Amino acid sequence: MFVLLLLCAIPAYLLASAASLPFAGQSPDWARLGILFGGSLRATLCALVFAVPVGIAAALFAAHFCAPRLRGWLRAALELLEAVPTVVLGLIAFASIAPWLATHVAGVVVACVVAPCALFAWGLATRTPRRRLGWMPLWGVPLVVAALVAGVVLGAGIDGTRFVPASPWNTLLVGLVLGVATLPTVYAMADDALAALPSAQTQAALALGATRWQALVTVALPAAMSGLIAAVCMAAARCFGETMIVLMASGNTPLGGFDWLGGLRSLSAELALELPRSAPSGAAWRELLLVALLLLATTMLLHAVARVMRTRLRARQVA
Amino acid sequence: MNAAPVSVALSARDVSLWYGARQVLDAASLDVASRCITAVVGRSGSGKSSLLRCFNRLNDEIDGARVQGSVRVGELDAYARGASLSELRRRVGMVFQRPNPFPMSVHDNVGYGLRLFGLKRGAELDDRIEAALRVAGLWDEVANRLDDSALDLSFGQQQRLVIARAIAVEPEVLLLDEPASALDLAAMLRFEELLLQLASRFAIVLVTHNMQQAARVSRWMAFLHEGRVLEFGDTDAIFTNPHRRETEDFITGRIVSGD
Repeated sequence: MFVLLLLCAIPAYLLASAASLPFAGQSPDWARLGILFGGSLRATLCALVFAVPVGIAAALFAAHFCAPRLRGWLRAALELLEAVPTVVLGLIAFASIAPWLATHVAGVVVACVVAPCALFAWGLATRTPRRRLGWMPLWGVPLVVAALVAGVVLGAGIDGTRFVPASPWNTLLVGLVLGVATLPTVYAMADDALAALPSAQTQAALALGATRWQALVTVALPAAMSGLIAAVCMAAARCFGETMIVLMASGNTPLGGFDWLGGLRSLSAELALELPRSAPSGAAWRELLLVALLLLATTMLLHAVARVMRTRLRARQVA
Repeated sequence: MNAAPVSVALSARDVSLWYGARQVLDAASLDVASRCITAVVGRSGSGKSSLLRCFNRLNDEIDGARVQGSVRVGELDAYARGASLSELRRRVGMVFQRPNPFPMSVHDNVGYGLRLFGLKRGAELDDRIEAALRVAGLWDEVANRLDDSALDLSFGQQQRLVIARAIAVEPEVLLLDEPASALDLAAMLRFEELLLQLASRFAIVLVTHNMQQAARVSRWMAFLHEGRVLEFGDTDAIFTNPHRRETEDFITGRIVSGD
């Protein structure tokens, strides 16, 4: 109850302080707000492009294919990753990845294509989908690393003038690092959604002659779909509100458009950057309050969607 | 092991099973005759369900499970190298202790196995779904609700639904893992009638801890004790003249407690 009250109080406070300011004569700079919103959106989408496939694939693997012990390790490792302060990730992005990425964009792109293909080919070749293989899937790790390295090398070969980022701090960089930061969120929630499914249904599918993969695609995935959507929404909310990484890796240039190699400035970064510079009563201050409101509204909306989806998932399971 | 059944649908020889280091089954052998019910009885933890899961290799899905011995379904050697799991499981259907319909429509539940084996849609799919539902005695109740979610059916209906789902692919052997343990007496008796009808089409292996149920429906009976088949033979013969003291204790104990 108290928490609910607090939740209502925050937007109320922001609104009230925005309204109580003397009307300075000019309307807020909506265009700038839009660009900032677009920046946040771009960073979020780019991060999700990395985090969602990897996180959900890892959760599927953990819930349906790997040995329980390995699953415990996977979970622990990702929780550890979640414990890394985002400022540290931002530092790495700023100091190490950014200069490297500036000359290796094509390599990253190629690696992102090659690695899943290699994994898929390996899966087809070994036809593993059985649970009891224990630690065997770990052999896939060198494979993925090798595929990533090969991709980068290959990409370096074809690196022409096509992929030259406008700035070393760009959307791709933010997406990569933010993707790493949200990976644990996606994984944990997707894993929960999949683990909560009654195993009796999977057993029934297997007993009817389905392979593990078929059981997963035809029974488990549809049943867990709302939970997976919730995982994506939560991850999006986290990306949208994330400040430190975008602040350090995005270049903070308020640019519009959807250039994935251009810089950006997010709502959260705007708040952090402009706050010290604006007097607490002027027009700039009012704009910052608006930015905060917009940020809050978006993350709350995403959380609400996630909430609804999880409720639906639970209702399904009870029935 | 006395009296070998006439026509054998499934035959298990010296099946031993380990979960990790723990041995669950010790050289269990039995034959399942066509078109009748073979009951597997024994106390909880005697390995009844585990034995059943050896017949369709469902133990393969458990981490650390290891099976020795042979299981044959017709000419198919279930544990042979390269044996097809999906082929085995099409020929050996299974119904679990609690009904476990998929979260999809009644129609799609029953059609699940058929779809897996290539019958995607069309009149033949519908016909076979209807036939399976009729055999399971559920058609009249769900004919107008085929597109409703299977999870909206009552408990008893769900139970017959999962039977229809298992028999839709026309298996040769049907494994039933204590399917009646959650029913009251009247429902159980109705359910046993259904079992007897099913037995005119399939070879049925019925796992139960209820001796009276075994006596009522089964033609053959195997008594499992601590992972071993202590006695296997004609149900009436075992009831009237058990060879082993453990069997006798179990039979009399059950009857005295009135279960």
